[in-house]
Amino acid sequence: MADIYNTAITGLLAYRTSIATTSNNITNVNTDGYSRQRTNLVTNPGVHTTVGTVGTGVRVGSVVRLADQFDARLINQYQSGFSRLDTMSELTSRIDDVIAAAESNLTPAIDSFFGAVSDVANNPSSVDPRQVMLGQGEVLVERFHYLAEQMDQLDKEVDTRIGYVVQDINALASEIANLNKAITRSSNLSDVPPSDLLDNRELLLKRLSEKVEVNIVEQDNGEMNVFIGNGQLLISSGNTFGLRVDTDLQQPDRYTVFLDAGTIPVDVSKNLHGGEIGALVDFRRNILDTAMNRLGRIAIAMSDSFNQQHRAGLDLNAEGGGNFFNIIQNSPDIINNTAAGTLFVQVGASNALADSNYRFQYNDDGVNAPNYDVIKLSDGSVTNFLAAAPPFVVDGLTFTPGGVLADGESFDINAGMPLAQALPHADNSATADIEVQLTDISQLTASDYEISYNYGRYIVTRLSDGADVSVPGSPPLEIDGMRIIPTGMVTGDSFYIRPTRNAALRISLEITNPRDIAAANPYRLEADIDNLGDASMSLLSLDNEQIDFLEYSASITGTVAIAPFNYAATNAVFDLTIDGVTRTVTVNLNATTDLNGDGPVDANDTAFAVQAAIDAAFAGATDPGATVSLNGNNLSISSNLKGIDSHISVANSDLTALAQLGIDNLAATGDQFAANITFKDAVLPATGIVFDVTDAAGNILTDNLGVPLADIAYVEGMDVSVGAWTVRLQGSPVAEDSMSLAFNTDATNDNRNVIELSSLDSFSLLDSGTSTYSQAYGVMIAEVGTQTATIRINREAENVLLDNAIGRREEKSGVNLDEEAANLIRFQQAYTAITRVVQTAQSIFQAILDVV
Amino acid sequence: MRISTSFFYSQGLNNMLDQQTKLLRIQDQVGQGVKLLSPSDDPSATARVLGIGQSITKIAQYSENSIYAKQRLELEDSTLDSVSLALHRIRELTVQAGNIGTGDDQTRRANTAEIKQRIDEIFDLANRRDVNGDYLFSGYKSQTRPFYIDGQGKYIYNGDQGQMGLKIGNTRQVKVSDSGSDIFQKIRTGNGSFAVDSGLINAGSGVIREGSVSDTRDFVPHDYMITFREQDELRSAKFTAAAAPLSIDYSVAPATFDISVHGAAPVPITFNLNMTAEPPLVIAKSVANEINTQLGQDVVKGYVDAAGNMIIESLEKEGQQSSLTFSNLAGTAASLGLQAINVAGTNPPVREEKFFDVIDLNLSPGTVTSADLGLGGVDIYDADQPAEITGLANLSLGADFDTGAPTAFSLNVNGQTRTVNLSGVHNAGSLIGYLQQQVDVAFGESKLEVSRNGAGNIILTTAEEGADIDLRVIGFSNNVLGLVANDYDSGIDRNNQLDIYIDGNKQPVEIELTAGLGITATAIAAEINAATGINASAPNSPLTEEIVINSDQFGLTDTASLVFQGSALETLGINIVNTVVGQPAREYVEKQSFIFDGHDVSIEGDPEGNDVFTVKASRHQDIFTTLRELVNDLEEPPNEENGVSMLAQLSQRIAISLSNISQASSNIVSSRTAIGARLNIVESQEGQNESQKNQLEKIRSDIIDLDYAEAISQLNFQMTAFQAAQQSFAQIQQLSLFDYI
Repeated sequence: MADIYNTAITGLLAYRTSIATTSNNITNVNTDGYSRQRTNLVTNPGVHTTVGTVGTGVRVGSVVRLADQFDARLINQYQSGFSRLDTMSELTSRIDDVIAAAESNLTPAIDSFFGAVSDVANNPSSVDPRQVMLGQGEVLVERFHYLAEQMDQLDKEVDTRIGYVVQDINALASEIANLNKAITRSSNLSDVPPSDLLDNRELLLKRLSEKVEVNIVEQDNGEMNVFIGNGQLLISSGNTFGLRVDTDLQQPDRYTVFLDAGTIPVDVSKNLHGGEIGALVDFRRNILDTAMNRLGRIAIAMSDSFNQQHRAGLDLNAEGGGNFFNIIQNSPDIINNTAAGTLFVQVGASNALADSNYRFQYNDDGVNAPNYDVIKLSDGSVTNFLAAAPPFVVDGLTFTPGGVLADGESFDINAGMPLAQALPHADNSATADIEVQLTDISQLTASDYEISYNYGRYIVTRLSDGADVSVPGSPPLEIDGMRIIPTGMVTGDSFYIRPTRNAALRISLEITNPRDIAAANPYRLEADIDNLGDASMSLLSLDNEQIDFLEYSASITGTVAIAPFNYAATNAVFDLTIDGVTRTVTVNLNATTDLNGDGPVDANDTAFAVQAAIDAAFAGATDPGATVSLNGNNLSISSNLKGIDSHISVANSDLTALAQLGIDNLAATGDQFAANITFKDAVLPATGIVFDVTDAAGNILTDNLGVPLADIAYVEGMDVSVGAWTVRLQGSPVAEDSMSLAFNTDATNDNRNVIELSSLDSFSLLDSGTSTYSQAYGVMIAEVGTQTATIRINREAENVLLDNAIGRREEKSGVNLDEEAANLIRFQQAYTAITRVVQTAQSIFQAILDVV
Repeated sequence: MRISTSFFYSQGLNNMLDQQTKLLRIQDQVGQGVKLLSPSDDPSATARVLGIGQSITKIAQYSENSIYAKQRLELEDSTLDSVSLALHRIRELTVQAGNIGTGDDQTRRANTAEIKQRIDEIFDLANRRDVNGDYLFSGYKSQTRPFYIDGQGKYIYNGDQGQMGLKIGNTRQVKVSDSGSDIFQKIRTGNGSFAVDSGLINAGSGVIREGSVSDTRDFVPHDYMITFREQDELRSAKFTAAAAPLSIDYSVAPATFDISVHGAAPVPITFNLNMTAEPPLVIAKSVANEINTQLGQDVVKGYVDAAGNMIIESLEKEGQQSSLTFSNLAGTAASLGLQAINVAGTNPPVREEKFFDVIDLNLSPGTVTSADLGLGGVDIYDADQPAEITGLANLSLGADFDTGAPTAFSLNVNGQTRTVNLSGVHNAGSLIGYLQQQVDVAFGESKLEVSRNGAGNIILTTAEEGADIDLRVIGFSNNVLGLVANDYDSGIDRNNQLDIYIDGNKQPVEIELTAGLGITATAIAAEINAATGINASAPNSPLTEEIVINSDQFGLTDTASLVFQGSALETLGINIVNTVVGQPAREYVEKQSFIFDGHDVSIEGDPEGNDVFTVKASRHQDIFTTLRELVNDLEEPPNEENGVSMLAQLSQRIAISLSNISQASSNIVSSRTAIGARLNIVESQEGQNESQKNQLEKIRSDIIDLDYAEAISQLNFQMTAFQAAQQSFAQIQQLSLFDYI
């Protein structure tokens, strides 16, 4: 009897556990990470009798968790992939949406701007369309800003998100480590696996996989080691090596992810592929940076080419066109190296900074009079000024120092060509410096670059494709449209170069006055009205680099006597007039003294003495002054005031001294452009027409090789080059015909330059001369669009894989309520049946008792 | 397989969400009417659409430009139309004024008054502004009034020659303005190729007609003079003496004689030749020179003819009845062979017919009758020689040179004057060194080299070589060194070419004379003969040192002409005589056209001897000058006293004005033609732009516009699918075993 009872009781106990397990399954039907459990019943060992074994009931063998490690890993893997693509898709879509949306698309803004330019061409004399052009220019600039700011925000957001994700990863890692510990403890206590802890850990690992791709290695004791990236250990048993977000060593304006394993933190960002963090890093490097670079490249190309053409023109005030757009070059970046003082630098519209940076230095050695040096860094030429007489003008830059300076204090003035951003590596040596100029816009790529120095070699890597684009030889290095000028680099130093990144953010309008729009050409080509022939000339080319005609200044050139004359006792005196300002110049020249300190007493000392005398005479804030230069024995005095109307003259006083200095009573004006072509009959026996090219004063001009342009045999269609210009001569001239090329005054209706400007939108400048601005933007849209579409498709695919994996896990581990309901019924029925057994046993027992 | 309940739910939910997303997308498409919602929908299409959109915008801009271009061109055209009308009216009035001749002053005055009004009208039209206030015809200087009248009543153009261009197509620019100078100024005079006129002091009533170009291939744009003359031999009085004796010593006694030129009172001449046994040519030239000097003007020239006779010839010629009379010969005059013989130019009988010559003023035709060679230091310079001055002092005598008190002289080298200071006593040996030192000190550099020649003369030589090097000694009074105040010029690098145009050939025979040739007539003549390839007879007796080149010598016809050109003429001292050699004067027949160098002109009326007509290559004359001249001519009418030639003058002036006016009209017509052509270009470009735009819009529409029929049916399908997903989810989720327990 008792054994029946006993047997029944084992059943009751077993099925109660079964039912408990089932109800646990049911209640956890919606619990994340829960794996369904099953109670395994085993038969109790029977009692061996002679007739056989008599069973003794049932017992709970184990409550098992139905889970498959392989499924979990697959899920983790797909989860990482999906999370990455999901995040990428979300971020990329945002660029995708913004660049093509009607209100932020760049193309309509470009179109409207160039439409406005075209309208100026229709009516160049009127201010209204010019005003509209400035307005549309502002809209265009704003559009650049808007787009760039959107991307910049995205960039900042990525930074922030990297921070959050790393926090999440660290939190998850430490929970997993804790679970590792708990699981170990529980394993030590019993052989029964702690289902809930395992479920929990699995869930956390899945969450971790959402953040970052992980590699899991399970130890024998149930602990899990988790690796990220290229095998960096994140979790080792109960310990974690925390990730840390800190300033990027190469790009200090960004955050990156370090792993604090060992003594040196390792930058693991490049190795983090999957999960959200992988997406963030990947998105920024491969999509956002490229898009920003592409946008910046368009801004640079547009401003540079537009500026170039604009500078070739003439505005309504008959002044040379300055820069229309401003990106970098016209806001000199003044770096106060050491000084307590201040420096104000004004850049002329002619953009003198085009080819060099400058250093401005104060010298006061206590021996010589305090003075300043302006050093043109491209060629090292030094212009010295006495400290007493600011402002100082060099190459169109006006330097005005302020405050109290000490000997040797200096400022660097960096500007010039559109400058690329170059970021020094945090570990660079103190001497390392670099300047990256953009020299050939058409060759620029949308990539970033890295330059490092390694035992005498500069290694330049194009980051978009990882190509080594180093060039042999010493700097400057000309690579992909950039001129890279590294200085002071030692082995191990490196710089990160962003050629065009910030341009779209920094572009602005340089011009605010509509009259400053240079719609006209600076030259006027005219045939004399009395010409009998039909010869004409057309401007074939105008060297924009040389045409900076505001740079021309009036100058007087004479031949200085070889031996310096001694004026020390009785000064040589003459009057110098520069643009209406007359000063009496008193030259004190000691024939036996080496004034300029270069050794011999020679004509250089004469020039030095004349310069000093002119400086002294013109000392005063508003006076223009003049620069004395010596070429051989030719002494030139050039007005510091530059421009078409600048003029300079020398008058009266000491004629002997003037003759000895080689200076005549002369006047000169700054108009260097006037040229007359006069035809005449060839001197026999040569036949046909010849011509002379003369300046306004009738002097024969020389061509660019220095050959005098006199008696040139005329051939139809021939080209004549002088200085900045080349003209093509056409038609049939007859003797005494003449043509002239002159400065274009009052040409209010001249729209030649603005027509050139209006055509720039069709000018294929970018990508080695194959893309217009808009096409480049189209490429950018197509690229981002393609990336977005690809990512979206991959995301769908990855999603299916993930779903399948989850499905497989669910198939095994998921709770099915119908199944549980069936089980419940089954177990209840069994339980009820066992109850009947007990009842039967009791009946039997009662019957026996009754019998007894 | 088993499915977990939560998975079952989430799958169902995901299905619904998917359907919802798709539905939303179609809804968006339908709502916005576009296929592509973001670039990722079709990246390449999006880029293409951008490009197309830009092209469309561009074309729209071109259309706008075209409208502007048309407005401008039409305004210009209508303005020029008004100018044309005004010119036409002026022409009518002028013809009328011409027809009435001198008779009706009142009508002419009325016509003139109206012409002046019309001129003002044209002036206003030339200064017209457009709606923006820009002047139409001032080129680029749109804010500058193009035409104004200066203090002298001259019309000045103040604009420039700029032509504003507008872009009306991708590759097409059209000029939408014309400069006032092109329209109103650059107008050719006369018939467009040449302009005729008559001399202001013509006595006859001849009027030259406008004429035309007979053959453009022959046309030479030179200026010509047509001179009328009576048919006579143009010859000057010539006095021929017997062969001049060479042996007479002319230095013994003065020669005296009286000379009368062209019938004037005889003037006594006295001179002493101071020469012995000189060649006749030298004597002849000296005698002529003395006569000219003493008469105070160039009256005669002297030379020796082929026979060796000395000739004194009057310089008078060209139809004058010149005469030259010597009388009262005394002293050595007789031995010169000069005799009291009156010589007069030959006067052939006057014929009835009028004749005229046509003289090309650009290319002076003529024959070389006389070349003065070897006289007056004529030299063909070798430019690459240093300038050099040779002193007279003879250092080889070995004497000491005492400069006396400290003294100085100036040297000028190429305009640079320096004073050389001298002092002390120097022997012949050290003098050169001392001088060199002092000269260097004076110039501060090695400008001159001081040396001595074989004769012991001091020589100053410039260090530089080349043309145009000057060396002068100035003001050296204490001349112990024999350096006299002297000039030396290394000479102009004259071109040594001599070109001979034979018989009207366009290509000259070119001869280069070299310094080494030697300056003798024989040498030059030989050179000419060698170059022409004609075995001409040897020129002249070397005695005369003259070249007489005569077309006969070349065996050419009697219409042959010889034309010499080239700077060597000056070097050689060749005089060109402006007569047509061998070409007979043309006989004048009224109204009959005659042709020369491609010019076909005719003269009518009755010109008299010495009347002149000019035929000049066309030049430019602005419309206002033409009209102002017309008004001046009309306002000064000829009166009875001025007689017939004044009427001819008026007729001539009016004819010229009419020529010029019709040139102005045709210039305006051609400007308008150009404007019309440009308008056509604009219109055809507009059409092209329009069709291109339509095409592009269609392509764009194909790419981005939504096919509504398709989209709506898809929307319906999607809605159905979504509903199905919802319903099935709702249905299935009701199924639970627990419901049945």
